[in-house]
Amino acid sequence: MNDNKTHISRKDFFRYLKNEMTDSERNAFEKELQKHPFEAEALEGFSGYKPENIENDLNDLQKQIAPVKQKNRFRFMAAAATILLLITAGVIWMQIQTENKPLQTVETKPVEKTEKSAEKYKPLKKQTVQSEVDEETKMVEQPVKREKSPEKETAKLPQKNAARSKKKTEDNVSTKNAHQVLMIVEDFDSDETEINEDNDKFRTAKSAQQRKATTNSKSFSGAAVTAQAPVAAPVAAVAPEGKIVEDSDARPVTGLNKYNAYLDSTAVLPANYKKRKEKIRVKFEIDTEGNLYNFQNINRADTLLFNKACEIIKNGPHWSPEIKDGKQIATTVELKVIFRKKQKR
Amino acid sequence: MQLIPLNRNKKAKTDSELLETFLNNNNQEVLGELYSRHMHLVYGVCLKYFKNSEKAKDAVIELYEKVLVEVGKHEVGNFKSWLYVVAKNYCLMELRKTKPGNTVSVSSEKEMEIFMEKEVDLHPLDEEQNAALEKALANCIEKLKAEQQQCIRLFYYKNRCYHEIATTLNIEEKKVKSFIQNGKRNLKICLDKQK
Repeated sequence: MNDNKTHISRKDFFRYLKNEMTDSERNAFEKELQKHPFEAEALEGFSGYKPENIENDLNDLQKQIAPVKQKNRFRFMAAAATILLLITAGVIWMQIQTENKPLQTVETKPVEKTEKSAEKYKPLKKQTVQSEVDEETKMVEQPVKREKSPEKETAKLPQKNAARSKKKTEDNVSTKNAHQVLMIVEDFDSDETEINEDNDKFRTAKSAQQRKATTNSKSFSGAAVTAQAPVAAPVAAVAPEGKIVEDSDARPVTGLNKYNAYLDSTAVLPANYKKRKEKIRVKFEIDTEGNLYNFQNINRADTLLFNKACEIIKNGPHWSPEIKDGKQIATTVELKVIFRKKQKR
Repeated sequence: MQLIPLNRNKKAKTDSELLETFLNNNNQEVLGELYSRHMHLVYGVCLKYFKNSEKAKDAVIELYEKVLVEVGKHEVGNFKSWLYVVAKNYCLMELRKTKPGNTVSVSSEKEMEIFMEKEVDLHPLDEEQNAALEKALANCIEKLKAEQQQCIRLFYYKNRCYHEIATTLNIEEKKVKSFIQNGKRNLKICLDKQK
């Protein structure tokens, strides 16, 4: 027992009742009881009851007294506030991490071919669709001679479009003249190998017809593809000689992942540039031979950077032209080049 | 390890400070804290009188409600002493209700106020002793009955606990307590006569 205390504590009471005190401690405790009648009477009351039962009873009573509840509530609030603080810190940290991570996105947007370009850049190949094709037929593009004049084709275009829009409502599939596709290249995992895999899937014209609606997502497995208008499915076309030609968008021959890496490495801002990064949206056309021309500054970005972006695109990997209905055709492509400052390591 | 700095233990307030806080803002939580400091004593006293734990528990809660109302009506100098009187009177009143034939002395309001004004009235044996008091006590102890004399000497001068005295004198612990109480009362009478 602590002699400095002005009164006997509850703990001392129970030590005494449980016979946990030494003889000298018991004597000191009993002397204190002689001075304090309240404690002495209480101890008289406790005699004959088990100390454990008394403690339980007192705990029950304690629960009915306000301060204990208040204390618990405070502890709960403090714990909740701490957890909230940790979650907030975690979210902020993750955001910072995400911001620091370099992101390179390239958008390719095949757009409607103009009448002019249709005239200027005649498709070189002709396709012939067969209803059934032997599974062992090789998939090789076959150049064919153009049969119709561009003038005739242009004249027929409105009628064709009307017929196509009617078809859109029926099966949500149309030709590429009306489509616009946004491809997020980071997730876009298409390359030469994949195209070949897709070719296998479309060995027969019959099966190609059945898969029209799903082909696009299949050919770019794992890619996030947003179609603003019904997207034309790649159609397996077969040349007169029996060779299948796969429809595809204009794309870098190295594949978009490598192209993306190329842009990332070359699109570097000068160290003293005012901004941390700059986006340049470049629109250009690709002819049937994969030549790039007619570069346009879509977002009116810094001319110097735009010129630099054009230079990077021109000097970069070669582009393969778009193939539609087994023919190579001229296309317009939109590309987002993001210039960043070189990170110090 | 202190994980939550807000929850660090503050220096505990005294009974008087808590009582003053309660009287100023009438915050029941403050009175609850003050009451729970002495609740085990209230429960012990109630157990002594009712000899039933359930009744005693009910009495502890009812006494808390009574204190909540009464504490503002009286000028309480020492909360613990005041609570003792309130608790004891409550128990005696309850016993009188159940056993109307019995006469149980209950402290009047006036007595309560007197009791509250003074601190615990210490016996000369429990106080610090000077040479004159020691001599007077020695004379009076000599005049006590043998059992009372033995018990007081062993308890106050040899620092033996009740259990040891009971074993030494081969008597019950209750008897030891009784001899000490009666011996102290006789000593007080003797000392008062000498003054």
